[in-house]
Amino acid sequence: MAGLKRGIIAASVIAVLFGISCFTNRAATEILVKTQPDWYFLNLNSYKKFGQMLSVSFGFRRLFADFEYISFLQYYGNREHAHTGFKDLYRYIDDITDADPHFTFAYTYGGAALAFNLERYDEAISIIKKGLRYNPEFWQLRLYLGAIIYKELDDKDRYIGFLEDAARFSDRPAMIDRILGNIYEQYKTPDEAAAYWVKVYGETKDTETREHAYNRLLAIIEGGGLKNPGNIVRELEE
Amino acid sequence: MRRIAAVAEYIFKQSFRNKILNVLILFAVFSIGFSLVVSELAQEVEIKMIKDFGLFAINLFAFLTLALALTVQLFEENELKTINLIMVKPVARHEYIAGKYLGIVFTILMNVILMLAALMLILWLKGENPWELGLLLQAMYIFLGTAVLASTAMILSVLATSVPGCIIFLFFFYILGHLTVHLKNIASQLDNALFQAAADIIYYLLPNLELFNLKDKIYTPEGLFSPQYLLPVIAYAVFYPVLSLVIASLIFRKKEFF
Repeated sequence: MAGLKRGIIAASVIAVLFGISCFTNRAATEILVKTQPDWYFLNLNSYKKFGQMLSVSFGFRRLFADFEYISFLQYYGNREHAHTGFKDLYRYIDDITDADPHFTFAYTYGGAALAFNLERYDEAISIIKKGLRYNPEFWQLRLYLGAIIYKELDDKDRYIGFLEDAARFSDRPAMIDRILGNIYEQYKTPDEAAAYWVKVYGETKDTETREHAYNRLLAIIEGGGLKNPGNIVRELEE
Repeated sequence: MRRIAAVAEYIFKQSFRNKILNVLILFAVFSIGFSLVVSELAQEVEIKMIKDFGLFAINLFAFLTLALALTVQLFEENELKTINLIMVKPVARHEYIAGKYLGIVFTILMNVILMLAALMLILWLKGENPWELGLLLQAMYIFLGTAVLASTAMILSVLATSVPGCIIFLFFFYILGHLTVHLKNIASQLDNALFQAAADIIYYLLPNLELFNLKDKIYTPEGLFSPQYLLPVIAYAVFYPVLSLVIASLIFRKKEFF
């Protein structure tokens, strides 16, 4: 009798605890489902991207996007792919932003590379629009969209304006500085272009951009178009 | 209560003696090495990558600490028969289970705090603010998730007849724990009652670790740092382990040692 009584008490305790844990689990899951966008959940098409399934299973989806980003940089940095026009570039950026749609740097970097280096405007616009769809509050993307659209229309005053606005943000890709400098060299005076490169040389943290700025300054000085090259050399030394 | 604390202290000290905290050295080497590699590979998103990797590593090593602590305990109980020494002492079986759980959870807590400190130090050395609330909350959630999984491990440890079997099941529970929400979401899209029932069973019985995986949702934290979310999650992190420990104690009570 005592054993039966103990059994009933134990079963009741388990039932109550199970009920509370089910209730709290459900309540938290409902908030989770409400706050997370559709892309967060695996769906019936997720099996197409095995890496994503794996990363979700182990709880490291954002880290997976980081690894995809490193693969993208290695792909884009490999000159052997230049002869194919980096045809897989769009797929790389799409994969990164599928794994982590809030990886805003991938949109700006990828969009700029596709539009200004490879002149693949449709793909660049598609990437930036995807970024805006998932990050409507990250309004710097609108500057990139404007710059790409006007670049395609060859309206240089407007696209330079958009790029200059984009370059004011500290989280811009360093590539924007290089693109803007190259444009200045084409459309502005050698003194203005040199002043810009000196500024980039002094401010950028990106070693590649710093080196690029230095080389461009040397090229401008050697080109002989500067009114006072001594000033530039002095500023560089400072 | 005093007896539970004594068992917890014994388990915690055993973890020290068995050098489970060496996992921390691995973490430090792993994290610092990775941050140096990342500096070279992805200069412009270096900080994001260090945070992502650091949190992933804290999660991974917290799980490894649990698996190691469990392995050591099972080995000592089953092979070295230390359990016999404890059973002859005036410690009730449910007290032993509760103490063992608390000992393992304290070991995990200490590891998580020290690993978080190492990550914060790396961020500080890179010129970032290490006292970011999101980072601290994510580490707390990692600890809570691992503590919930540890309670399931208690059931496995009293059921298991071999150490490898227990660890393999724990590993599967870890994966399924992250997939429960996703499985339920897929089941709701399918018109298959059997699949829906299976998804429901997994969802309610296994620990829902995805609730604690805030590191993958850091950019959409609006609702997740609110009290409406924190309260049910913390309640779940309390009641689910209590339920698991009650079940583990009931199974353990029926076990014979002599």
